[in-house]
Amino acid sequence: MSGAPEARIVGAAEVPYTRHPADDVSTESLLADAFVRVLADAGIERSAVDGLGVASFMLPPDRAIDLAWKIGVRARWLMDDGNGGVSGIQLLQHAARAIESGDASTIVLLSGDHFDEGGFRQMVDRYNLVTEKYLAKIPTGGPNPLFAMITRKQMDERGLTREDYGRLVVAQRRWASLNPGAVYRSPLTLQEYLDAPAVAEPLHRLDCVPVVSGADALVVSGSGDGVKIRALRSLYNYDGQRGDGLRTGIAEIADDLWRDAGVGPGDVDVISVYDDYPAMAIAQLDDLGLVPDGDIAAFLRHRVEGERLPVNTSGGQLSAGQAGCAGGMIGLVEAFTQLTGRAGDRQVEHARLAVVTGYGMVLYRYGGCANAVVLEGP
Amino acid sequence: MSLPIPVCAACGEAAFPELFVCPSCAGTTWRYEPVEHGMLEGSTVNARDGVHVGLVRVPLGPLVVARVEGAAQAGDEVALDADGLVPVARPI
Ligand SMILES: [Zn+2]
Repeated sequence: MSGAPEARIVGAAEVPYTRHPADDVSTESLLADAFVRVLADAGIERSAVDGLGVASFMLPPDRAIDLAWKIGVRARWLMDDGNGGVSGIQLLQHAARAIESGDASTIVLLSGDHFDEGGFRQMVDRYNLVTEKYLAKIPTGGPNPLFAMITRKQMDERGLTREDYGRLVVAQRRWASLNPGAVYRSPLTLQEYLDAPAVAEPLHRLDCVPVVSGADALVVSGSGDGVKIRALRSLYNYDGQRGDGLRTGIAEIADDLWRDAGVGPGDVDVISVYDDYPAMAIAQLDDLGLVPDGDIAAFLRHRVEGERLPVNTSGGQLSAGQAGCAGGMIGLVEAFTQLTGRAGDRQVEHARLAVVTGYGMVLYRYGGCANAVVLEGP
Repeated sequence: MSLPIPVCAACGEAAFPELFVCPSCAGTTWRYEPVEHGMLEGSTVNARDGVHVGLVRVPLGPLVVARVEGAAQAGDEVALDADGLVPVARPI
């Protein structure tokens, strides 16, 4: 492989998430904003960009090519990806391969969404054809009841209580309080978590990510210093929806991931897991091998609450909200920020290695997609 | 009063909802078998609209997401029906 470029992440940016965007904000304006911000962060000229990848639910009927035109990118590599919670790592995977095979040299990856009330309802009820035909008319009103039942099963099987989930939510909010970019920054007590109104038992309001508008961006390049990809693995449709949803595809890629990375789950300094619901964040932590004795309750009490294990140090989606497909990139942006030592008050000391997961695309009862990456700082 | 469950004509594998290619034998022909009851494995209530949603294990194997009408609890046998395409579970 001598002479072949090695892909690195050389810039990251986030358009601040917001519950109430200005009237002139649109999905494409957010993506364009993220593009301008990430060029500035990476310190590169637009003319250097020769690849563009875009992940968005609401961009259609437009696609990456329409955006390329409107932001003035002349691309040798172009990719659309609407796979929600796994889109960020999926874009990163393909961008890195494109750079390493010479298809492009500098790729900008954008992800983001803006929802108005009607647009969000429509996205939820027409998430896929199965949702439209079998779930929307129950009506489930979106995925909350599905993950409520998964959470209940996890509680029964792993001996967890609402307090245990609350420890993760409160810990993420503590990180968010140190992040000027987080939407929800006021510290949260466990009692406030417990007292939040029920959404679908056992889920209450602080278990569910609020809908926000926002965008994230990365620059991947074959030259320059940056964050290296030590290992990246994906698994899609891992069980044909025949399981219970408690074990994600991460469980099946974890061994390969850690072997490729040459490190183990105990060696990483920063952890970003896809946190659409606390139960799924916990399932991914378990699937990654971070709970070696399987005692999740003790892990949450001692490692997450007690030792302040750096999990979702931006505050995650539970404190920032979910900006559609941007939720698939928020963890990568935070890992980049930590590994380049620019996380300000929430900076994890000596952060050199990070693991980031993606999870999602509810096919029927739970997410059918999973991926994970181990990143190494410069 | 039943819910049609897709079954692979070649190998008998049941799936819900319908698929195109059988996950077990790659067969492409499906028939529908009416199922009259199942076991409620879990349920919840949407606080916003009071709709009860449950997971029902049908005897052929698949787990079905159903609207639960009436007071059924996890562990109960329930009667299955279809409202259009939507599975409906009721206490027996
Ligand atoms: Zn078959």
